[in-house]
Amino acid sequence: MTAVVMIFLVFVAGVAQSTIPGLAPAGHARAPLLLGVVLYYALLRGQGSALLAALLAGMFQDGLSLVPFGYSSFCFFVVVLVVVLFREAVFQESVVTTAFFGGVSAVMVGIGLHILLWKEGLVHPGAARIAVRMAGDAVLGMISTPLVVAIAIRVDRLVGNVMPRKEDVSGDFRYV
Amino acid sequence: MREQRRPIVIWVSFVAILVAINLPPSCSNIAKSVSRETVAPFQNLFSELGTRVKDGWSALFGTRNETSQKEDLLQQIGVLNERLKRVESLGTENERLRSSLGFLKRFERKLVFCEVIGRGDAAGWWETIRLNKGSKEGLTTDLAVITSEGLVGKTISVSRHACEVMLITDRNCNVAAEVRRTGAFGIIQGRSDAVTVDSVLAMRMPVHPCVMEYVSRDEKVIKGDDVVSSGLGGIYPKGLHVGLVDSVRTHDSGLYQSVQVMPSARLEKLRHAFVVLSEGKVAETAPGDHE
Repeated sequence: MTAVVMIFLVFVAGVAQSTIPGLAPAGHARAPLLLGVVLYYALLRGQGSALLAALLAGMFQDGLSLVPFGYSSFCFFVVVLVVVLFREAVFQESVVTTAFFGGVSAVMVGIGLHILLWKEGLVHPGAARIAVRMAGDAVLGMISTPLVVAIAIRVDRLVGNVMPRKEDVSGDFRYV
Repeated sequence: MREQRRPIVIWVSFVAILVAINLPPSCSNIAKSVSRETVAPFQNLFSELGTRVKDGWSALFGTRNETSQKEDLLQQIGVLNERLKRVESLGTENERLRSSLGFLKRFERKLVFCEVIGRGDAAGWWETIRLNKGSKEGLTTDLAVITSEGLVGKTISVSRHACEVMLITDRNCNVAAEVRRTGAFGIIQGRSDAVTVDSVLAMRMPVHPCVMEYVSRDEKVIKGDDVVSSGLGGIYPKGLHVGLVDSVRTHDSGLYQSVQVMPSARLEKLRHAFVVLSEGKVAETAPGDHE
């Protein structure tokens, strides 16, 4: 069931990400919803699931854009490794944590993709645009990631992949 | 046990990514087509929904200005009638000149009417739009995309029911063009990296002017001059309206002029566009109902 939910989340996030237009004043930065799904698995689920989500989400993102196949997967893969490294040191289920990781990861993916695409001669944006774009990525990542994580938690709870915490009435969840 | 498996999972994922990066273009194109085909129906649906909501909103709240709109429209009808008469006489003259010179009509090529179902690529690095027609309707890559106002861009990736169009404002899009009045040649390039101060805080693409490079210093180009495609290069047919000259300056190197051109097509508000089929395609695959 975990795999089905993962495919569903990646698909919905991909459709939404490609449909919602980019923020023009922020260098056409788009809400990184697919990255949000990857972060959900990296922060709150196992590393194996997170890497699989990175692979799937990255390929779907590349499939829907002009980015060569596998580039986004590689960037998501690095993000997963970094997040997994630090996740034991933070409150994983906190909105602040997801927002922080969302912003930082969006910038990481943005820089990573820019370097890869620039090396291939596919993009030539100037320093000003990169700075604006990274700021846009960070803001959109901070806003969208907690939303994606909240939705993903509810979907997983709905199908029985996670169970509500018995002693907690605040609506937080424990993963089984 | 789980700890022991961790490095294996990482290595397997890493190898999978390396394989994906090194896939031959034919395989990655198939994978990209599958992704786009899966998403296209949903984008179509959202686009349709968006149009209906917008139309409904206008119908509900757009009645206040009805009277003034009616007056404006009546005035416009008068002006357009006058213009129509002029255009008719010019058309007859044009037809006569064309046939006597043996030129082909400009749009003997067929046009495929498409709706815009997506804006910008999913990663947000290029200025593109997605149209709801694909190879099923005879579209291929490197076809010109236009509106009644002017050139929009070219198709860069085509799946069965959708295609991706790179806008002329993107830095990777080059159009061989000429100034209609003087015949001065140049290459139009997008300037997608220009984040202008007056960019509206809207989730739309603001239109950046394009730059027509390599225009000879001897050519006298002035603001307001019409810029059209020159037909060189084979992608864009000759005579497609691109835009109007905004400003002219000598390039930093001093070797040629750089002309700023404002695209005529309203790229930030595109809802529909036409794909110009190449002449070979007309005879082979273009269905009659897509004229």
